[in-house]
Amino acid sequence: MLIRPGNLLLLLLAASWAGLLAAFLLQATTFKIIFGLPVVLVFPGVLVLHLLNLHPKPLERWALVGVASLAVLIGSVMVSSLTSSGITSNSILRILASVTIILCASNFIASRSRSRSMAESPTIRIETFLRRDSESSTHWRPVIAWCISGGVIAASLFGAIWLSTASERATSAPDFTQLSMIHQGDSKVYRITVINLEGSETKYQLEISLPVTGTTLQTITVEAQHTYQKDIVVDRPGEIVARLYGGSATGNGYRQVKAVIP
Amino acid sequence: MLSKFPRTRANTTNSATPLESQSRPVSAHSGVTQPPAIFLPVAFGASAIAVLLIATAYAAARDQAGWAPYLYWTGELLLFATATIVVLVARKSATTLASAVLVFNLAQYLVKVFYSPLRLKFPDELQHEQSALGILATRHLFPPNYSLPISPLYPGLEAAAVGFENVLGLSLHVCELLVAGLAHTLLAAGALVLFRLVIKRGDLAALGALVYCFGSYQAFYNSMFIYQALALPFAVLLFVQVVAILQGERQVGRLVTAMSLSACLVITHHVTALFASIVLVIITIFAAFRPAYRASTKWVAATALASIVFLVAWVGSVARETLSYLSEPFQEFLSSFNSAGSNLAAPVTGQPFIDRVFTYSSIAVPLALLSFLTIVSWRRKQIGIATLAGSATALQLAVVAIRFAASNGQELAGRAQNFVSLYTAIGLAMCLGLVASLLQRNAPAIIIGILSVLFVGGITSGWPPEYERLPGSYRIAAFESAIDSHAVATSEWARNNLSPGNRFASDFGNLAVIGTLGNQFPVNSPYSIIFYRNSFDPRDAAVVQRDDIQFLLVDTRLTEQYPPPDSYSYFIDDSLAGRHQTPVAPGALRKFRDIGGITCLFDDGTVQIYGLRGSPYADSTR
Repeated sequence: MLIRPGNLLLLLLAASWAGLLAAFLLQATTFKIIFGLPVVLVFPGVLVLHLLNLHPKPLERWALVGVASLAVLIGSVMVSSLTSSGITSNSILRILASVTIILCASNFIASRSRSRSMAESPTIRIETFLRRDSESSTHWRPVIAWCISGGVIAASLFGAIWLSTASERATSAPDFTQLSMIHQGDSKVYRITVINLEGSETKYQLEISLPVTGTTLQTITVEAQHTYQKDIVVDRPGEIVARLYGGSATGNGYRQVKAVIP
Repeated sequence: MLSKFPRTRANTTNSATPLESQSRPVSAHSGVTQPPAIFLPVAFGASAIAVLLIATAYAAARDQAGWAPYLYWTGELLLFATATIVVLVARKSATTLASAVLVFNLAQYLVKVFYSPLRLKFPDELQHEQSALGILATRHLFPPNYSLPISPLYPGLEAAAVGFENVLGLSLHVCELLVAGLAHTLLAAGALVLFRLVIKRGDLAALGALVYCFGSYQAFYNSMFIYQALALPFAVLLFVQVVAILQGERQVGRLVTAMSLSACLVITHHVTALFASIVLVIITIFAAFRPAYRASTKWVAATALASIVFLVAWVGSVARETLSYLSEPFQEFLSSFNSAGSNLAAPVTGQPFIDRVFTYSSIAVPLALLSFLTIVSWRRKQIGIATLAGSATALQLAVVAIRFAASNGQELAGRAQNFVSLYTAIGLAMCLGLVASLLQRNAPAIIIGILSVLFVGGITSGWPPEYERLPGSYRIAAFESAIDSHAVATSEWARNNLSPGNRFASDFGNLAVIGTLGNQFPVNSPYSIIFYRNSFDPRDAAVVQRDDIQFLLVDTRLTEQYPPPDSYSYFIDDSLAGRHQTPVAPGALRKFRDIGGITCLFDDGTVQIYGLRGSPYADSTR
């Protein structure tokens, strides 16, 4: 197989890499996906297969392209783990680019040595991956059938995605409040935290009992998905008890946390 | 590969035996060689509608609609019917056959995704997600994983997901779904390629691939974000390379591909790598003793040797814990055969009657078919086929024995079935070809009947268990249904507010989540009694100190619900397993509030976290 500059595969490869790099510069996630998928999932595998001079039947060909590309990606991540910067987008992309360049160069060298012993030097063309074993049809019915089927498939899948995500979001959304108290390191500070996961702004009554000092009660209002924190400094042994009234119903009507100060 | 296996012939007027004259179509229409042009688009559309029906059933189940199961089974049967009819009708078209198998697999995978589209929900997946989160946090491989310590040592799966996350900019969850979906589809493609190489008939190969895809672990378990799911396509395609070499394609490219796949396999999953090495050794021995394949022996031996060397090198240098990790369940498995017969009810514990019928049928039908093929081919002196069918029968019997005799037989048998099915599916496909040649006119109906038993039985004997087959309301100490907003939010709080690796004790469901998403250490030992007594007891203190338990995660729903109907347990190693007359007494959980010295760090109204350091549990002298 001879790699020529005008080869479609090389053009697509270069264009995809250019698009991916531009997407990274512009921080455009959509374009990262569009250009990144062939860069990561297709081209490494295609290059590996050409280098190995393997020309299996289409199904095996595409399966090997997939696993070979995955293997290159896994290898890139493993190598980037060994670098000082670790596994980052930059390190993975650098290694992937290096591997791609090495594969292209290896293909070029291998194809030149193969072409010397071959009468004809076919090029790497994308069509070799699209060999079809069915006869083409010029009838309109299949075209219309495929168009209708495509519409049905798209509608069904979008419907399934919407239904699933909407129903799971509705049933799995939290509708409660979290109360916690954590001792801050070795200090005398205890942090009380109220996290409102009720889904709406909620008013609470926070009752705090301290050793010797006694009990205080305050009303707090916390917006949905927001956090209220209060630091308490305690320098006497005993118990700190914090009770939170309000929010979703509980078994005993309140939430309670307790710390024991030795 | 099977030189005596019947090939499709134009004329069937010779005196060949029925097994050898399987040119009779399996399809319903003997004279049709190409389906109508609209056939495939209609089939694809029907598959998409089937997925929509199942997704609708899931949504209805979340709303507790009583008709959800009926809709679910309608969707599943439509999916089955579409794939099976396409394979039976379009037997001459390789593209159509491949499309039918791949579209079925893709639809099967989407069904799993729609079960829980917003986050991973299966406990096994959470263990690997924890490894991926650790890699993202540390930016290096081999982060700690308290729930499944072996997982980071086989980083193939998580490296792929993290790679996608870094390059594509998608969320980790979407990348995990992408990796799992690719693995699932590549496995089906690889299986079809392998079966084509071995069976040499496209329609039977496609039937064999469908039989494999109907297996109990294919629908959900091999669709999960777990390391075996990614390792299996590496293994299957490795076998494809070796079979191709055996059949004369002795190219350096095939050899290098095989060795590369071995290397990928070794860094992805231990058991699959070991299984592949064993299979390669068997193939090497087979090739050495068969004159037709002797020329390829050195090539296959090189592949086998490379596989073993890679495995030994990885286990010896990076994943030394593999030996202890695998030896423990292996010893448990061996010892459980000493109490054989104690688990006769295990495979179908808690299943409704109709489910049990299909579960047992999905075990009995393949055995019967393979035995039938063995006998018929032996009588007709087709030794190659008889050997294949006989060995497949023996393997299937071994899996059945594991299922019934081992204490955790259902899980072990399911995992073994994953590998064994690659072999038995070939035998079953050939048997279906035999059935077609013997029954002729009635063949399609019989074949559809057999496949439907395998398909439904694969669902009833597979994952999730019957009570979780459709997503529903929270169930304490269960698998997927125990992972709700309380469990997830509590674990996220623990991850953000506690140091990693604190030793937690809890019920089975919450323990799975706190040990993964919470990045804490889940203690898996017998401590259930702590949660059952109504007051402090020094014996419970001994348990806490023995296991160095630092925190208790107490879910008040232990007092409201009975344990799940398959395990009858609230905890791993539950002292009252199978004997719960009532849910846990409220006083048994309330005591933790009242015992002096116990801190309560967290309360969301349903779940509390108690710290035991400084309490009588941690210090017996108090």
